[in-house]
Amino acid sequence: MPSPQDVLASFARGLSDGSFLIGTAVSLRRIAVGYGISVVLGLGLGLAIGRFRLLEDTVGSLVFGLQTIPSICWLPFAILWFGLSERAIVFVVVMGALLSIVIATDDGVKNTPPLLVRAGRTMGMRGVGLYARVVLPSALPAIVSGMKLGWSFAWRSLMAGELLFVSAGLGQLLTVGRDLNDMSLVIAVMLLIVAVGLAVERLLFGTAERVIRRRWGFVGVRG
Amino acid sequence: MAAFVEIQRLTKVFAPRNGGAAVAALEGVDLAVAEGEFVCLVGPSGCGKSTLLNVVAGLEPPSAGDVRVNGRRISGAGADRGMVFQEAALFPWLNVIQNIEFPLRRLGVPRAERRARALHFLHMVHLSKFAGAYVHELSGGMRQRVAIARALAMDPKILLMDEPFAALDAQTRDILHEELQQIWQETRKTILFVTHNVREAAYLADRVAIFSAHPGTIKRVLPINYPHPRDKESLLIARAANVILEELKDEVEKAIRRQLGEEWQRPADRVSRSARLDLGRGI
Ligand SMILES: Nc1ncnc2c1ncn2[C@@H]1O[C@H](COP(=O)(O)OP(=O)(O)O)[C@@H](O)[C@H]1O
Ligand SMILES: [Mg+2]
Repeated sequence: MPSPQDVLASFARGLSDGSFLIGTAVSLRRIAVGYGISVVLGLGLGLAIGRFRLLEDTVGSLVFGLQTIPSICWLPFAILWFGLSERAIVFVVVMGALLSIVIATDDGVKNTPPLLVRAGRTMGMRGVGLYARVVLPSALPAIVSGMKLGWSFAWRSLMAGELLFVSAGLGQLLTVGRDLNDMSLVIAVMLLIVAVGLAVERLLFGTAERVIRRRWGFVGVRG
Repeated sequence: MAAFVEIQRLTKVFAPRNGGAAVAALEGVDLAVAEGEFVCLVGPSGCGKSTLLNVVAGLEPPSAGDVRVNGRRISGAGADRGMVFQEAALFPWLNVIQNIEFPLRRLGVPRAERRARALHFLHMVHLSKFAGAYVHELSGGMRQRVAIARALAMDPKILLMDEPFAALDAQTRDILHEELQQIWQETRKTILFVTHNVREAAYLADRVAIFSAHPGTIKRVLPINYPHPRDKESLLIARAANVILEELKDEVEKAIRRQLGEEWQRPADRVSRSARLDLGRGI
């Protein structure tokens, strides 16, 4: 096992030769695209499934079924479909985050207290307005917790994908470390993966969770 | 001339739920309410009081019959009828003042006036200090105050209240009775108020509609001809409460017998005998 000093030295080397920065930048760009697509699709699908019975019976059950597949299992499928390209790895990231966002959003919509909907109706609200101004905000804690879960799934899927599918990114730096038989580099990269993952999570969800705790009186953890 | 709220031959049948039978919640209910009148609805639970309120609110369509407000047949829910539920139904993502402003925005009230109106009604329910508080920070009584202010701020013609104080402790309830009486006198709203508390009904109402169950109909409408503001301790209120209670007893017994079968009997005899035995004890 390498000493902490060795790991620190590897870390410093990685930072100074630019490989860590480039790896981080490549991974962040991929996750930004993949996670961004997941959020847009996931919210849209989740809201639609929560609203329309027909979609729930069809797409809804499909989503629950697909959720049992670990997202990295989509990699062979993605490579066959997109070839060895950026798109294949983004696809894996999307499959990592999308389903948990869909499910949490649908759940939040379904768990809207009927009393609040009735109250909204007695104020003359209905249809899309009622959905946007009562159901959606009521589902917000569930949606945020689903997005956070989706984020961590997306990050893990990306790392797994980069490990298997060699072309830049933090996951690939791990492979480099292994090929060089350099344990201290491997540990330094793992620390970097943890740090980047946590930092982005804090950045994305810190404020949202604080606001939810202040208003609802709890953290938006459900399911 | 037609009354302000005119309910005629109102029938409401709920479709059977998972294999059960259809429920006739209301059958041929007639009730006319004058503008500015305070009418309480009392009756055994399950006799259709909430259903009646929901139909008037437009939350449920009637199966048959007619509900008119100010001469116009109601179609769907609308902000001209404000509703206060047993649970406050406040929006947890909004603070107190935002909750009260919420319906005003949809009604197209300009921003500055929204705030002014909300503050006015917040003051009326004595919660000015809590304008910035969130729902989870309020007690049950405070939440109902906000719900009342929110309903009043829409300036509805009618206020529908479904056991609004039933979940509160007795002291808070007593205070809110007095305040509601005062608010009603100030705002002159027409109020339909569901309760199972006979003292509440006797204290607040101009008239009390007593329901009987299965099917839900109005058995008797009792006027309480006693000027507001009233004194809760007065003998007249107590007497009126007793009259309502007597009318209700039969209905409640009927409802229980319906549920438990003929085996059930009122334990009245036993109670009075043991009470007699207790006489003189401890003297
Ligand atoms: N949405 C509904 N679907 C089916 N039955 C209902 C529904 N709402 C109320 N009921 C039935 O209608 C009857 C009257 O209910 P309700 O108006 O709530 O009574 P109350 O408010 O007087 O206690 C009850 O038997 C109840 O079970
Ligand atoms: Mg009821």
